[in-house]
Order: sequence, then C-alpha cells, then structure tokens
Amino acid sequence: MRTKKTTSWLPALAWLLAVLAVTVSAAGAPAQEAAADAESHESDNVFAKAIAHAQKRCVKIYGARIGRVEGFATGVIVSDDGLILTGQGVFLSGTSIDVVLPDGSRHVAVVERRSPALQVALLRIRVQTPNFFKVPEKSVVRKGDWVVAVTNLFQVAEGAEELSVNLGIVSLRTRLDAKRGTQDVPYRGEALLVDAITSNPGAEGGALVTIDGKLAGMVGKIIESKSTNTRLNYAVPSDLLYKFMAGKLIEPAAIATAGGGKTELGIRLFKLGGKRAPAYVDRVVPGSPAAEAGFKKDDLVLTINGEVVKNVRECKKMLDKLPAGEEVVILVKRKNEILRAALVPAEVKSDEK
Amino acid sequence: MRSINTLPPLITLAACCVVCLGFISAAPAAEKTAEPIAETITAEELSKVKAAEAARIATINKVYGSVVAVYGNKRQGGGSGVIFDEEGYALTNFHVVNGAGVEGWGGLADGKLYRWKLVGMDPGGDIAIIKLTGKDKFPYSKLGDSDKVRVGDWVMAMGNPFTLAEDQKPTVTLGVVSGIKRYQPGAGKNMLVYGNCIQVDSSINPGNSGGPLFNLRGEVVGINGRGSFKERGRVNVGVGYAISSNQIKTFIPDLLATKVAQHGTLDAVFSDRSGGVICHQINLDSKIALLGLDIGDRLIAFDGIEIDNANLLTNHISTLPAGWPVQVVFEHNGRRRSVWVRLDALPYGQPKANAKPQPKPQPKPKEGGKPKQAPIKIKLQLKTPGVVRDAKMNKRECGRILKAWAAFAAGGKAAEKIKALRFEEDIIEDGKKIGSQTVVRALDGRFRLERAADKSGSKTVAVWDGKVYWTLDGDAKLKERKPTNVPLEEHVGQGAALGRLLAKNAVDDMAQIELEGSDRTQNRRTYRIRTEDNFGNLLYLWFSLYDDEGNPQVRLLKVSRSTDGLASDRAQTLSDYREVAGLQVPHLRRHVSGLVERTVTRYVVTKCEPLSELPDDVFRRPKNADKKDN
Repeated sequence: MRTKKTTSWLPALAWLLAVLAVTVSAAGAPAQEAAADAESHESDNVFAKAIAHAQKRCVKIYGARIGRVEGFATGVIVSDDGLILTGQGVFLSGTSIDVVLPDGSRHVAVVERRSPALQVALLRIRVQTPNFFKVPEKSVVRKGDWVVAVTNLFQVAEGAEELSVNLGIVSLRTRLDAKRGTQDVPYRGEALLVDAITSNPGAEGGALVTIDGKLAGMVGKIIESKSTNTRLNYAVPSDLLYKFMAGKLIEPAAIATAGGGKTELGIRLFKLGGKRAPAYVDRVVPGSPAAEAGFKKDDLVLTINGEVVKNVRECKKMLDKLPAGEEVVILVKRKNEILRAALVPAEVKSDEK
Repeated sequence: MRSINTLPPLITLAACCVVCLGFISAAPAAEKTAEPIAETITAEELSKVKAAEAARIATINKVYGSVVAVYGNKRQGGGSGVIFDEEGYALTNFHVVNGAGVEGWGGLADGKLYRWKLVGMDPGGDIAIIKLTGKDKFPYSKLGDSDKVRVGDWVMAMGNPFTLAEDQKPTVTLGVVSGIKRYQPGAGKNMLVYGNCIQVDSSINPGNSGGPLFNLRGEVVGINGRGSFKERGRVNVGVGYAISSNQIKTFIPDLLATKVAQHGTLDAVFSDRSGGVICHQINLDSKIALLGLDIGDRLIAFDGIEIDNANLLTNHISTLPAGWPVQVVFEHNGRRRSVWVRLDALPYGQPKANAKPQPKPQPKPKEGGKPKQAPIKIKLQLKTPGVVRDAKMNKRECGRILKAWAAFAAGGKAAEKIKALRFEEDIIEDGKKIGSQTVVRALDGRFRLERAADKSGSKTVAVWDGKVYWTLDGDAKLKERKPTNVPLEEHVGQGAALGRLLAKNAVDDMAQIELEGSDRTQNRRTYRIRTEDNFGNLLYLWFSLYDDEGNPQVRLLKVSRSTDGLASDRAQTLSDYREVAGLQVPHLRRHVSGLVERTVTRYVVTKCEPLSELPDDVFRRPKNADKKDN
C-alpha cells in the first residue's frame, strides 16, 4: 500500500522546497519585523522561538530499565492539568515513573492509557501544568517543512537543564509496516519520517515542532535495520495523537491491549536438546509477532531485553513473563550474524484457545 | 519592508519567517491544519534563497583555508584543527596530538602539507596548540564569543572526517546548536572534561576531532571534540560536542607559554544539601580554606555566577585554569563572606611518590546514566604540568607580544614624528582630587614627573634619564636612587622598566623574561609576562591581545610587583586607551590593591599632547641642587 497524503503535495526535492517554503513566508513578513535590530544576534536564530516554546512544554521521564534498555525518555505536556504524552517503552513498566518538569521539579506519574498501535502512553502527574501543547486535530506539517525535535536523547540534560534540539525536515508521511519483516517496527500507524537524527536512546516521546511552535508530532522509538544497522527517525503525527487522546483511535485487533494476560511472541524453541541446551528457535508461528519481525528457524536467542539467555528453560521463563503490548528487544544469532529485533508480544485471548 | 541587505540574507529570511507565521500567539489558528503556504515561488523569492546560499558559501570560502587536517609523522589516521593566528598557530584536540605525537603534518585546503610542532596542551580541556611552518602568512579564522551562541543557531563543523580528503580540502557539515552549557564527564584523571560545552547536531565523525565549529559569520565558536557514540560505533548520531571558544581563549596564553595547562579547583567538594550547595569536604591546605571556607558553609556565588546547584559550579569551574582569580561568596556561621582567590591546580596522571598532598578532584555531577568515556591511554609526557616546557619557544612568544605592544604604544610611523608625550594628570583618592602632576614620557623610556605643590607646599620632581633615577623633593634635596631603593612613585619606576621593554629586540637581551600564561585583570583574559625592572626587581605585565570582537588589539592592562594582589605589590591598572598622534595611550591609571583590584588612587589624564622636540635638559639634573645619595 502506498501513502495517500503525499501524492497531492509538493513534488520531489523536499529539501529544496523546505527552503523555498521558508522564503515564501519571508516574502510576507509583517512590518514589526522591520523593527528588529538588523545587527542583533537575536535575529540570526529562526528556530529560537519554537525551541523556547517547546522547552517549556517537554519533560524528562525516568522509569524502569531492563538490561541495557535505558530507563529514560522524553514527554510532551498536553493539558494544563498534568497530562503528558510519551512513548511506550520499558521505562513505563517499573513500580514508579518520575517526571521532571522544565523547572526541575520532580513528580510521580501514573499511566492513564496506552496505545499499543501507536506505541504511545498518556501519563498524568498531580500538578498543574499551565504551559502545554494543544495537540492539533489535523496535521500541521507537509513534506519538506522544517521541524525541530526537542528531546532528552542520551540523557544529556538533567533537572532544569534544557533538552537537546535536533533540526531536520519532514521527509515523508507513510506507514512503516509496509516493510514488515525487513525492519523491526512495533509501530502500526502512519508515521512522519524526519531527517533530524532522533533515533537515539531517551529521545522517544520528545516533541517534534514546526518553525512556528506547533506540535507536529511526537518522536517515536528507535528503529534499526537488521541488515545495515542504520536507523529510521520517525514521529507519531499529531493528528493521530489527537485521536488517541480523544479516544477515537481504532486499535488494530492483531495487537493486544496491555491487560496482564498471557502473551505470545510466536517462537517455538528446540526442545530435544534438553532444558539446558542453547535456546534455538525450532519453529516460528506464522502471522505471529515473531514471524512479522523476521525470526527464522535455527536462530539462537542470545538476549531478551538485554538479559542474557542461557538455555531453553530460561528462555521459556523469560518469554512467558513478557507483558503484552510492550516492546521487547531480542538479539539472535543467525549463522555468523547477530541480529536485533524489536517486537510487541500479542496477548493470548482466552476464547481463542 | 526593510532592505534585505541589512542582514546576511539567509538570516533575514529566517527571521522574517517566524514572525510571518504568526508564531504561538495565534492560538485559534494553531489548532487548524496549516494552510498551504505557496506551491510556487516568485523570482524575487528565489533570488533571496540564492543570496542566502551565496552568503553561506562566501563564509565557507572565507574560513576554508584556515582548517587543518592534522596528521602525525606516519600519517596514519588523523584529526582536524583550525589556524587562529597568521603565524600558523592552530587549535586542535589534545586527544588528536596525543595520538599524532609532538610533531607531524598539517594539510590545508591549498592541497599542501605543512610541518607542525606541538606548542602547548590542555589535557583537562582536550585542547592543544600546534604551530605550522612553511608559509609566511597562514590564512586564519578568529575566535568568536561562545557565550552568544544560542540553541537553534546555525553552525558549521569543518574538518577531515574519516580522513576522507585526499586533497586536504576540509569537509563542511551544517547543523544547529542542540544545547548549550552542557557538561560531559572526562576520562582518566581529570582529563578530557567538557564543561559548559556546546552540543550540536552537525555531523561529527571520527576525524572531525579538533576541527572548528563556525557560526554563520565565520567565527570559531568551538572546537569539535566528541559525540555521544554509544550504541552504533563511532559515527555521527546527531549529538556532537564542541569545547567553547571562550574556554579556549582563557587557556590560550597557558598553551602558548608551552605549558601542560592545568585546570582550576577550589579543592573543596560541594553537594546539594538542605536546599543549598554545602561544602562537605575540604583540603585544609587549599587557598580557599585559608581564606575561611569551612565544612558546612553554603556556597552562594562563584566567579559572578549565583550557584544554586553543585553541578553549576562543576560545569563552570572546569572551564577555568589553575591560578585563575575568582570571587567566591559563601555563608560561614550565618555570615556572608566574599573573598577573592586564585584557583588551585587539579593534578593529572599518577601522583608522584614525593608529591605534596594532592588536591582532590572536582566532584563529578551526578549524571546517572550518562555515558562515561573509555579511559584514555596517555602517550605524551605530562609529568610536569604547569611549567614551561620549551623556554626558547616561550621567549619567542614574549617577544611577539612585546613587539606587537610596541607597535601600538610606541612604534610605527608615529615614532618617527614624535619624541615624547606630555601628560597632565589629576590625582584622585576617595573620589576627591588631591593633587595633579605633569609627566613627560619619551618613547625611549626616559621620563620626568613633576608633582604640583601639595598641602605642605612642597613640590616633587622625579626623573629617569635612561641611566640614573633621581628625585628632587620639596626640600630641594637631590636624591639619586639606587637599585635597592624602592622608588618613591611606583608607576614612575615601572614606567622606566616599560620604557626599556619598548626598545627594539629588548627580549633578546633579557635573561629574565617569561610568558607565565593565562591570567585575568579588569575582567579581561590576559597574557601574563614575568620580567625584571631596571633594578632587578620582579615585574609582572598583563597584556590583552584581542578586543571584544576578537580582533587583534594589544593593550597593556596591568603592571605589578607580584601576582598575589597584596598592597605591597604596587599594582597599577591601565585603561581608557585613546589614540594620541597614532599611539594608543592609556588615559586612566589606577593604583589597585588585592585580586579584586580595589582602587586606591586614580591618575586621570586631563591632557595628553605629543612632543616632536625633546630638549635633553628635560631630564638633566639641576647642577646647583645639593647632591645627596642614599
């Protein structure tokens, strides 16, 4: 399936068009701009206002960490009464989630709702948040628009320190699952692909804002190609975020909601070697998350969420404990290669069995 | 609409854009989908885009030649650098020369390789200075003011990533500033700490190390040194860090002095406790302890910055060299105290067996999951930090500074036309005029001072005739001063010493002259030189070599007997420089006391005129006066 939205838009050469778009805006610059001091350093920085706007509306989030999967992320304040949008990662699975507001104050957050399809969660903190993003109902960016990502990648900032800013343009709006089986994509909705480098630890949940300070989207998960180790930078478009918040998002049935029930990846291990034998994959259930992620027979499971898998018994234990709807990262050895897969376990519906 | 020419075009377009789109305040509209801006553009708009691009390319062309590809002798691997002085002095990373060695090859955009030699290094701040040779005048770039860098500013990294350039032409990567005042912890013992650094999303890759980060005006605002390379090997992940140009400017005098520069510390550990930044550990031998700081005291301000968390102190102090004078404000037993102190030195490497008690390292900010650097294997000799490694090179540097100063203060064409300057000065203490004096200062260093009659009715004459220093007091007793005698008027004695330094090739004849390194006076970064006056007494000179815009401008800012700031230093600061007959002449001298430089007496020049004739008898001793040696 191809994207429908991009066809009617500007033609190719997205980057050039981005520049042109800026120019066109400039042509209509109102009179007050003339008042700005031409010599002033202030005017050099076209992104400063949007950045300052976003800095007041983004938070640092700290939660559980599993193995080498980091326990920190970014979040976007979306209401004046403490609602915060963020990604859905392992950092939400611990006993407590801490949110650090732009002023450096620390608050405990609870998860209100999640969307496994968008890999998004809505948190709430019990404090007023007068500075917040209004999530636009419709898309506010087009292919080629400048955007800045305001995130806490690599946890560079702490406390009241300002978040990191990466600049880029919107490359495309598309569905990611078109490449199912080639990429590890736990995300099912339409995504904004950007050329700002956001696919970094801790950036998930950060704000993608337009040059005029509107929320264009929320920075997504790290997506890495198994074959090239390159990463894709994407954001969840704001209109989908709006739908999620309004409760209008239709979750695909294949993905289970986080319910705490039994989960299934679709991996069957090779059991004939005994319980202490290495955890080789014997069979992959067709249509299961594992199949979609590209697991194959004879893959050796090395780690699950960063924890080393010693043998079949351990592997089984660990797989059984995985919570539904939350991304899991698995490293496997296939011949001479070590491959990484990120996938979301499906919930086993009781009426199906 | 205002003319497009008043700003660099790209910047103009950019600035207009934000306003035009109505920014945040247009809240109702913000809810809706953005209206299509335009599907086509006019010829005028296209020309603006082209102009913006042309301006950026022009900037790149301007600075392109100053970017160096730094290789060792074997030319394996390599880093980057940038020339900041036409004589071939270039900045790079310490970790680049640590890999390359003390000499090697530097490739410039002209495609040629030039020999370079290591001048000085700062392992703590990951900076080194190398000197290229093989050309009379190298293209260079000036250092900008990194305090003016803001998040979102366009910046260009240049260098030789992956040692791609076979033809030595630098690679340019454009991006924006992602964060400012970042702290990245170091490696080894107090090495490679990036304090108050600039975070960028310009692509920074292996080989970019040591290369410049330019703003769109072509000023170096940082030296790119590292990135957050954690998961994906050492390739660009959109997070690079540059050492700020202002930190580098502070350290350059130390490096040109051929030292292994050391970073400063209070030698006390602070932590965030009970709502304040509290000292919980202190070396009792540290300077700050001797000035009264004790365990449990609350730190209020450091170097003019209000300190509300311990990280802020660590971030700032890591950008300052050992010996740097700073003001520390703290609360001791409920009383607020303000002291000035020169920072102690942080040690590197392994402590020596017979070493004095070593200052404790700075506390690392609690950075949680921040990536730590892998330990660095130090190949260069770092055993004697803080001392001059190459006396010859150091002396040449002194000569360079004095020569440049002489050109401003007594040189050039002006010197051919005029012989001396005549000053009329008011003497002011506590805001009140207490007297006045006239000084004739010849450009060869001779001078005559005449102080008008004071309350007691006596008049003073003091003269240095080039060989002998004599005074004629109110009692009309002529006194010849001997070297052992501290001169009556310190600025007169110092004036004589300065006159000697103005002579051609003065440095060559001097046994005692050394560039000591970085220091601060009158809140400016200065080069401090130690020498002797005509009587063999120690004399320290503070030179500033650049103006606020980073352009070369030599100023002598302070002269003193010692660096401690004691009242007996007889320190005087020089300021309010104005041009007189083509010379730069200070119109305000202040006799100051303490590191804080509290004014004791001000000498305000009310009139300064050049003299084209200088009769010899101006300096001649009166024959009829009683002669009395003492």
